[in-house]
Order: sequence, then structure tokens, then C-alpha cells
Amino acid sequence: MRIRAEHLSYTYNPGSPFSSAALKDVSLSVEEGEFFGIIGHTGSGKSTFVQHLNALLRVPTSLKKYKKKRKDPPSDTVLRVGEFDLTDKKTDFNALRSKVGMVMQYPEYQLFAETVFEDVAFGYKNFAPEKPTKEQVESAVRDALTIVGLNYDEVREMSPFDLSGGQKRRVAIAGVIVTKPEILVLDEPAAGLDPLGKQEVMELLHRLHASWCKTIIIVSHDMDEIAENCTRVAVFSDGEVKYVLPPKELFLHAEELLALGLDVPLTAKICLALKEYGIRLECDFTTEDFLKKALALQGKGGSV
Amino acid sequence: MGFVRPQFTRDMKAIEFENVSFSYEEGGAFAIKNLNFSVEEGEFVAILGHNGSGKSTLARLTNGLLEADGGTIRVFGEQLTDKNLFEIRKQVGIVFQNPDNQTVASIVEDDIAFGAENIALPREEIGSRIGFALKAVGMEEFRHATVSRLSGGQKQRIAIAGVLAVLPKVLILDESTAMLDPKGRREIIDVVTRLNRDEGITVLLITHFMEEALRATRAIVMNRGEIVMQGTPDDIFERHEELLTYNLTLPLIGRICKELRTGGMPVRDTLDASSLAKEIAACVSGQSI
Amino acid sequence: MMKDVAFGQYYPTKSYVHNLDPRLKIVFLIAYIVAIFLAKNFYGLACCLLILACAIGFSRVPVLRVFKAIKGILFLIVFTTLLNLLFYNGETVYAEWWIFTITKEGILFSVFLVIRLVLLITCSSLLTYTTTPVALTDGIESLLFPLTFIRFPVRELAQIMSIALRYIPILMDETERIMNAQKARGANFESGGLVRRVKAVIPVLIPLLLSSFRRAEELGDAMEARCYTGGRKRTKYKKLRFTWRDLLAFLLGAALITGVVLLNVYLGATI
Repeated sequence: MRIRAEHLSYTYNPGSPFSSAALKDVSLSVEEGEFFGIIGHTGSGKSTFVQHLNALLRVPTSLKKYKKKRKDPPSDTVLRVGEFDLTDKKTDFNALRSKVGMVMQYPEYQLFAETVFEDVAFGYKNFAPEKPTKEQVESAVRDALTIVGLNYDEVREMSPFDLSGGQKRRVAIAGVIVTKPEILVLDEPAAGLDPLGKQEVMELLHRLHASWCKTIIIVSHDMDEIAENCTRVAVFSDGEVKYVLPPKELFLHAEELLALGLDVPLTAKICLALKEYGIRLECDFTTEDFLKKALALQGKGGSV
Repeated sequence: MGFVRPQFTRDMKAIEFENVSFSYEEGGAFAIKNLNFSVEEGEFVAILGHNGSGKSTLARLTNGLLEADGGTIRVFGEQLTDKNLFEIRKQVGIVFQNPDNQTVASIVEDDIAFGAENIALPREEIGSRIGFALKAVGMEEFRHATVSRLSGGQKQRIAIAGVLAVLPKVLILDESTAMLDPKGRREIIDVVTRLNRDEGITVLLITHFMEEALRATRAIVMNRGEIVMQGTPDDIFERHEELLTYNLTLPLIGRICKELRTGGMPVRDTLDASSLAKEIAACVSGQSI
Repeated sequence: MMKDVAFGQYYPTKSYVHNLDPRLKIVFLIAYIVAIFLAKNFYGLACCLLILACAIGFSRVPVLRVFKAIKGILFLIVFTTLLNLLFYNGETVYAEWWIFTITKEGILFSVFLVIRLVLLITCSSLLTYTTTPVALTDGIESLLFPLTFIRFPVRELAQIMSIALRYIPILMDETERIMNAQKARGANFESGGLVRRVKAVIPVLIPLLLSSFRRAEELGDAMEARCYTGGRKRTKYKKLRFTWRDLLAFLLGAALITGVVLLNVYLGATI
């Protein structure tokens, strides 16, 4: 499924003294199969954008009580996810949500059921068009727990609250992907984990990308993570999209990004510092490529 | 003027653990096992370990939030007991992990005042300590701001200021950077480094981010409630294979240095991008820059 | 997003009324409410109305916003007014039907009641519009201070209120976050019968409770680590101070009550 947003705007508390524009005329497309990154400060509009993708926030025209007022400007907003038109009231938003999985920040804090099984089954049962059989639920939960790297028979009867931090997060992710969504959106999936936990989560995402979820979108502050994993990156700032580029091209704008108060990957920082010594090192900013190009510099004594 | 401090002979240890053990459940697994270590006044010690290695327990034991099952804990020579908890807590401040769960008031200055109010300082003194504490964390202009409007890193700096207002001699950061973004993490580490250098505050930095340990004078690695490695951060990072066995990974920059060397580029270990660039430049041009 | 402000209705702007000592605003409010109910004729109420109009003017809070507060209890006003209108036992009967009687006294009383209720709500909400929750807590604590002599735990109460004020917006945010997360997992909070709706709350309630406990525990540790003991004597950094403006407000409150009583005496009571 392709995501297409055009002229998307959103204002919190419209018409009140606290009204604040979170999105200003944003246009952005994400193609099927991408591992897409979104970066920006808190309050840059990135969360607001992401929450539109599975209708946690709605385009006003899609609301039941929406009535066109005469003073409304003609809306040229487009927001489509696959065949779903998110500006239309008649859209089946429940079906949309089962296709667009959303993993919030610190998802382990949403666990609630007595057993891991029940927690993971929650979403599956909610989205099932008709009441699923016991076998269907079991096989879905088994698949989900297995793909996140947990042993189904070991954990199914355990209380989710007795698991370690990293395991809890994986159960929470299993609870979202249990419906096999085609698009998976994750907000800071590795936040708060130790380095090993981080690595495990990123490996899990690649496993999912290769199997169930055609498109993965991550919101992250960790630029090394972005440079290492993403096909393209959108930079949000002040409710607008400043850049949409592959990391390879985006981090050539290292100085501009730093000026926006954003970070850049370590590799980009080193390349930037190398310029001062008159050395141009061109790489795609992944560690692997950086090492290759850096080593190739030696002996040539100049630029690669 | 000045306080009459008890006179101690010879070397003054800020914190001393002697055969300290602790388990959360009676008869359960030890979170801290027969631990011996000490921290000199003015040191900056990083305590590393993966989740569940016992490093946070250590922080709580040090100022009496948890009571050891066995062994002795001394703070500036004074043995920690039920009776002197209050005095010890004045000396040892802790900043915790979640920036949202440490503030008691909605306005920055009210929150910083809290600790100073608890030790019953006069009003004027509290006012000047708020000023001092905010300056120390570089947030003077936020004195009247609303806490909930601040970023995570700023909230943690306010939490540090709140602890500083009591004028502790030891500052413990118990994974205080774990929930912050890289920018927030850097802010905190900068503040702590400055406090250690300029104010002479003894710092215990508990973290699982290896790169944060770089500024420390000494690093301690914990695993299963025991100290398994100790030395300067450089020494510790040299032993990366051993680190891996304790579920710790080298910071990215450390890995890059190592890989470059393996690939035949003789760069020295460094933990900062611009000095690595300098190293690389030196290798490329074949002379030192 | 802006729940920290929206909560408690505080309207952030700078004005004379905003700057007043919260204790005075509370005392003045009480005096004002007493005056509203002491006023027995339209002159007295007109006085009250005039003062409120001035207060609103000085507060720089938009008039419409102030009256918005009434909307919430409009039903209550209409209901009690109707009740009084139809059941009030008066002498001059205008109309009678079944158990209902409409009398001159009834009409007058109802009109008074409406005016009083509207004034009451408007002036109370003006207090919350112009006073931050924190200042309000401080004011209440200070006013209740004499109660510490009968060992009433005023300090602790104030501490609890202040912490609650700090955490209510956080918990509101958290509730929204958890609801969103469960909605993303197909939870439905909008439709279904009562049982279904109650059941739908569980996946929100449990994480919320757990997180509140966790927060409480961590906060407790953080407070203890900052030398809070509960029992020991503490000092207070912020002291509320009276200024000449506060004195003026105080005199105004006293004058209002006296004026209203005098109006009653000299112009006679309508009801």
C-alpha cells in the first residue's frame, strides 16, 4: 500500500487561544516496500503526521459530524493509504487500522492482560471481521510471538509484567503485528533500551520488513539508526517537511540539519570534520560504506 | 565563617562499600553480591552494566533508599544507619531515570526549592540556592517556566538543579539519560562533567551507554551484582571482547576505530568525531597533522 | 497538548486581577457570594453585577469566555428556575393549573435566582480564569494555616494538592496515549452497549493504574532522596505578600457587603 498525503494541515484546539498549527500544508508520499525514517524535534509535527496514517487523528472532512461551512476554504487535502481514502467519512477506518499497525513510544506501558497470550490476542480479536475460532487465534498469536523472537510455549501463560524490559517491548510489538499489517509505523522503537536490546529491536524490524510488513516507518532521534536502516528520510520542522531524501543525500546537508538543531550520524560528523583537512570522503553514511571508503582513502592520499 | 567539618585522617573516601549484599526478596537472588568498592572525593566514576546488572540497586543503597542485607556502607567515613539517613541524604543526591517522575511542583523554581525547604533553610538562602542551581545546569532563564513545557533533557537538568539546591557533595545519576534523545543525553553529560570539574562534586554516573563513560576518570563494569571490570574508560574499551560477554557493546565510534585499524589504518582510539577525523587525516596524508 | 493550561481553566494574560494575591481573591469571592445572597432587592444585585462587570473588565478575559462557564450548568439553572416558578407559594396568583401555581412572588424569586446563580458561577470561574492552580493551592494553604493549631495537616494537604496539580496533566496525556495505542489495536470506545463500553475501558484502566503506581513509587523515592521526611520541620520559599492593590480589593469587598446591606435597609426588600 502506498501512502500519499497532499496539502495536509492540522491544528490543535482550533478557534481557542491555545490553538496551534501542528501540520502546515504537508505533502509526502511513502512507497510500498520502503523502510522510511521520520526525524524532527518534539513538536515538529512528526507525531501528528504519523497519527493520521491510521486515523488516530482525522482529517476533519472524514468525521461523521463534519458539515461543510460556507467559510471553509476549498479543501485540496489528499490523504490516501492504499485504497483507503482518509478524507472520506464512508471509509472503513477499522479495516484501515488493521492494515496500518502503530507501535507507540514505550509500547510496553500498554500491556494490560493477565497473560502474554491474551494481550497479543487482543488486537487480533478486535479486528477479526467475525468471531475467530480458538485455533485461528492461537496460530496468529503463535506466529506473532515467534517472529518477535519469543518462545510461544514458554511465555504464553506468563504475566506480561513478569518479563524483562526488552521482552515486554517485543510482546507489545507482537500485539500490534498480530493482524499482519502491511504498513508498520513505530515511534522511537528502541528508546530506553540498552544497546543489546536496541540491536535486537532493529533486527526484528528487518525481519518484519522481509516478511509481514511491506512498509516500515520509524520515527527516531537516533541518526545512526536512521542512516543505517532507512531507504528515505523525511525531516519535519515546525509543522513542515523540509527534506525528503535518501540518507545518502540527506546527510550531505549536515550543516543545515545541525542548524535546525537536529543531529547527524557519526559518519556524517566525521566526514564534515574531514573537510577541514581538505579531505572529501563520499559515502552513503552507513558504517560499512564509511569504513570501506575511509580505508580506500589511504594510499590515495586525497579524495575518493 | 564556615562549617565545622569532622576531621578525618589520611585519605578521604566519599563512598565506601564493604562486603555489601542485597536481595529484593528474602532468600532470593542477590542483586548485589558481596560488593567492595570505594570512590574518592572529587572522582567521576561511571558504572556500566546491562539492565538488571545491579547498578541501580547500588545507587539506592548509597543513600539509604534501600537497606543492605549485610556489609557496611560509609559515606565520608560515616557509617550509614537508620539514624543518620537524613544527614547522609544531604550529602548524596540522586537523579533518577524518568524526567516526569521527579518533579513535585509545576513551576521550575518551586520544584528546585523543594529539597532546600526540606532541610529547613531560610527563605533568602533558598532563593540564592535556586539561582546557583539553575546557573550550574545552565537554565537561569527558565526559573519561572512551567515544568511540563520543557524538553526531556531540560526536565532532567531541572531535576539535577533540584538535587544541587541541597548542596550534596556526591551526585548519583541513576540512568538519568536512558529516556532522553541524543541531544538531551549530551546536555546532561556536559552539565555533570562541568559540576565535577568546577564544583568539585563527586559524580557516580550509572548508565548503559558506553559513550557516556568517556568523560569519567574511572569506569566500573557490573554484571550480576558484582564488579567484573574496573579501570580508566580507555582501558575498559580496549577490552571489547570481554565487554561483549557482559552484554555491553562498544560505542559506534569505538567500533569504527577498531575496524579501521583492522583494515590497516593505524588510527588511535578516540571517542570524539573531530579527533577521529584528525587521526584519519593524519593516516591519509601519511604525516601527523 | 496544552492540557497543563486548559486544566483549571487558567486564562494566561497579564492583568490587575491576575496579579492580586490569591488569598484576597478567595476572600473577596466569599464576600461577594455572601453579598449576592444578602441582596434582597434589584439595587443590591445591580451593585453586584456592576462590580463583576468591572472585575471582568480589569481581568482582560474575554467576556464570552467568562460566560462559557454558565453553559455547563445551564440545565441546572433552567430546572431550578422552573421548579421555583411553578411551585413557589406566593400570594398574588397569576395562573393555576393542576399542582402548578404561578405567582408574582414566584416570578420575582425565580428571576432573582437566575441572576444569583449566573453571578455565582461567573465570579467563581473568574477566579479560576485569573489564578493559576498553583497560586490557588498556595492561597488555600495560607488561609487554612490557623487550622494547624488544631493539628489539621494543612502543609501535607497542600503538598498533596500541589503534586496532584503537577500530575493531572501528565496523567491526562498518558490516558490519551494509552487510548490511542489501544485504538490502534482495534479497541472501540465509542459504540456498543453499557457492558461493552465498560469492558472496553479495562485495557486503558489497567495500564493507567500500573503507570500511576510506578510514578508514585518513583516520585516517593525522588522526594525521599531530596530529604523529604513528612514529619520534620520545613521552610517555605514562597511567601504571599500583601500590596496596596490587595488592600484595595479587600476594602472593595467589605464595602460591597456593607453597601448591599444598606441598600436592603433603606430601599426595602423585594423578596
